[in-house]
Amino acid sequence: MESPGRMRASSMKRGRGLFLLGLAAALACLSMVALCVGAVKIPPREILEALTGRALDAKLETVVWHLRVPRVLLGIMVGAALSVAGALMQGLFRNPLADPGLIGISSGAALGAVFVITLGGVVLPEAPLLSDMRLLPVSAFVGALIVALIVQRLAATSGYTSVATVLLVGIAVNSLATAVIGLSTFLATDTQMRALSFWMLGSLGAADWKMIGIAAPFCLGLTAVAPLFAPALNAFALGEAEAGHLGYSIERTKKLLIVVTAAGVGACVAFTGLIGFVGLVVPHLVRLWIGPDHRWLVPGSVLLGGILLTLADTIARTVVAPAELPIGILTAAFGGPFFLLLLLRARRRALWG
Amino acid sequence: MRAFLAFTAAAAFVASAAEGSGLRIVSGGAAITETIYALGAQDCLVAADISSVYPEEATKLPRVGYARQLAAEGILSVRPDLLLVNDDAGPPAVLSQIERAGVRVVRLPNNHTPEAAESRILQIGEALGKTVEATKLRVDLHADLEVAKARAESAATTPAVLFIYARGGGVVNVAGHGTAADSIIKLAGGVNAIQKYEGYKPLTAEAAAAAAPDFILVTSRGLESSGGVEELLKLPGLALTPAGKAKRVIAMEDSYLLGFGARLGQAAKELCDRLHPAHQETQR
Amino acid sequence: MKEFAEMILRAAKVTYHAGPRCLVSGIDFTLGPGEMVALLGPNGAGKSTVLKLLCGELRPSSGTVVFGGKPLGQWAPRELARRRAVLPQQAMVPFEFSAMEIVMLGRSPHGDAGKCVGMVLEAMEWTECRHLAQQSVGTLSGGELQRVHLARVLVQIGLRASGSVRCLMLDEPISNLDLSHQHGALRIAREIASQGAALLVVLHDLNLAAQYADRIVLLKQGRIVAAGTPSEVLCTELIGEVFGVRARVIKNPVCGSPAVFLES
Repeated sequence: MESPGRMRASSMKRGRGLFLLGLAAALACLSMVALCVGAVKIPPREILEALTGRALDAKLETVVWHLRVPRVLLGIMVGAALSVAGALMQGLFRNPLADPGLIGISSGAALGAVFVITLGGVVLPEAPLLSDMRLLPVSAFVGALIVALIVQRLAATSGYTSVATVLLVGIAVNSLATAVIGLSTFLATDTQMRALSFWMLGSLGAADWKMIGIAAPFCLGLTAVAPLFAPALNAFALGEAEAGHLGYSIERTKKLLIVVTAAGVGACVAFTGLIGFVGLVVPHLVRLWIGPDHRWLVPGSVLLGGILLTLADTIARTVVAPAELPIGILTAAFGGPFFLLLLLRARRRALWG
Repeated sequence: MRAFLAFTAAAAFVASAAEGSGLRIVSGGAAITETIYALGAQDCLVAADISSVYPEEATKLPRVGYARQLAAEGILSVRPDLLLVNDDAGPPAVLSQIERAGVRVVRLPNNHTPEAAESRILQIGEALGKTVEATKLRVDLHADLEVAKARAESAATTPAVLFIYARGGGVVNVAGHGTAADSIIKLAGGVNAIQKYEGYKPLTAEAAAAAAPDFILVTSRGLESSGGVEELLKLPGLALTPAGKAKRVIAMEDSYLLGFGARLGQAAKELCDRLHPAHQETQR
Repeated sequence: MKEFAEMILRAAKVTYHAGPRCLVSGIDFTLGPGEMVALLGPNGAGKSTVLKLLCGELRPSSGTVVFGGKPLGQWAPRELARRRAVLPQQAMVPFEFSAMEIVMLGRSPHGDAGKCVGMVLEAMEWTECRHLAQQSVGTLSGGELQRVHLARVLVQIGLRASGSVRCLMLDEPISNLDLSHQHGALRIAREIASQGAALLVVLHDLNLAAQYADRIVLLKQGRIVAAGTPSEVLCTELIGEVFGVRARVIKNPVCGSPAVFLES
């Protein structure tokens, strides 16, 4: 009578703690490996020396301390933030396929950046700030927040936000953003387009301590407050009204979730471009392993997100050294088919269960 | 083996000041790479960006990717002393990281003017400690440009030239003013058939007909990607233009035509000759 | 009729408009402790809307709803959730929670989910879904899922009498259940009521309502047509007026309540 599929819930539950521990250990190991490999060959002993500030060679110290460490940290932060944002959005919208991209937050950030890259020069050709890539993060962040606010405003009718409307507004905003981005690339010069397309594919290459300093409050903030939403999101799985009957303030929770996610995702997109599939695949994987309870799913997504992006970035910066692959290509190339495979497997299981 | 040794020994012997100092250079642009070769400093070159396809030996160097998306550690891994880039290279954060690691980063002007090309040659020469060679190269370039100018001025016609930039994927743009194509057309004694706007804009049938070019100018890679002269002339509106009717399509290698590097003078001369074939014959 | 002060739920002149349409009007309603009231009416009569107004999911266009002596709007959501559970009509659960995790969610307003495994299992025993505890809800049948959700709202207000007010509102809780489980679920509701909880149940089956409810409220086109004990309300005239059928009412030989049969 009892097929393995039907009994999966119990076996999953037992392994949860162990699973999280395993992920944490894997993340720690992977970070060490990521610090040790790169275009510049450095023996582990000298890496240790550089980390403890006893390095003799200034160049090696620069590579380790100013390039690799910030980069690994940024990778973990962005991977964790994108994954958690995905988990939160999926829980909020009661849809395992939702992610920040779906409700237009990523597009909003992209739009902000594209605007600066292509149109900035047209509107104010002589303004030195506009030709400066430093404006990019700011505009991406602003774009994400504006879109999140617009989505929230448009979707809210008489103080009640309908999830279906949020998704529809997200779709509308996405197509609008796609149209504007398309228009911009069409009009962009060759160099602009190259910058644009690389930014659209995502990269952790610009990581430095200053960037870590700016991104950390957003990414870590999102990661830190996400667990607080876990009980509410579990209730949301039953339906919005049911969550209300279980004593959660639906509207406040939704608003907070969207703003927090916009801030985190905006910062990620701003500093690393569009890194797709992480927010979609990671929570899905974690759910397959340890079930949908958000109290475990959120920390699981944090850890696995960090692992996945660190791994992807390590590959991105070593396979074609001394050049680099845009990390978004890797996440899409591996994430897309992998995700399809998971979907097929999950569907087959549901049919046979 | 012995021949090889002899060859390396000879190469070492003719090595100039730059190699003697053991300078290691990464080039971040086609025109820069071209100029480094023209200055005879190619032995210092340890890596180049992906656009550096001339001379062909340059393609055998380690590639550091696109000049606008450089990787800090990748560049540091070839242990350079000097990174030469155009001023539009990036990301800026990566360039400053490289500078902080003790590599001298020289940003060169990237304007499409003869003055900028000449100034770039001098700056590269200075950075490489090859000022004498650079001055000579600049004089040659200048002389070639003067020749092109003289030929253009003595020519009876000022042909209208339409530059078509096909970058694949069905996107076909034409060059307005303020573009590299516009500059080289002027240097070669032609006039850009598109006067209405700046930068690159999508080609439309009506715009092509209105431009009524006498010549169509393309890069050789662009011509290849559009499938040859016959296919190119099938693009909307082109067949009806004077250039299309007479099948006057000029294709020149990308960085030669648009790079504004050390070969700018030659490129201008060649384009000038091809734009004024009748005049050239009468001169001979 | 019970005393005013004792009432757990009291609605006065509750009206609800959706745009220009008036869905519900003039609802006066009381629900006391230990009382089980069935809400009956044809499709579209506004049963679910009335339930949503009474539980606060919808805000009345006019009129008041008072719960436990305090207007609904003044309750802190969590405090309210500890005293009152609502079982809406079925919605899909998008993730593969186990049945037990779903029941456990009922304890979330109390913040003691870890310590109430015993109560959770007992409630699942009551609703005969304990054997499903570790199964993913995605694999359950409609009836199994309904029993899991019933167990969830039971643990939310607690299985036994406690010092505080307890109220349960069920919207068609037996729509997917077989004959035996229908009676089982209503027996549990009866049992909860007998321990001092107030129950409001939306039902379709007049005979089940007559057998288990203390009072029946008949709803038609958003208005209360009749309210009273089953024998007061279930008569040929009222059933004809509300449902538009010709019914014959006899005495149920099992429990003595009215039993309704349609004339063919």
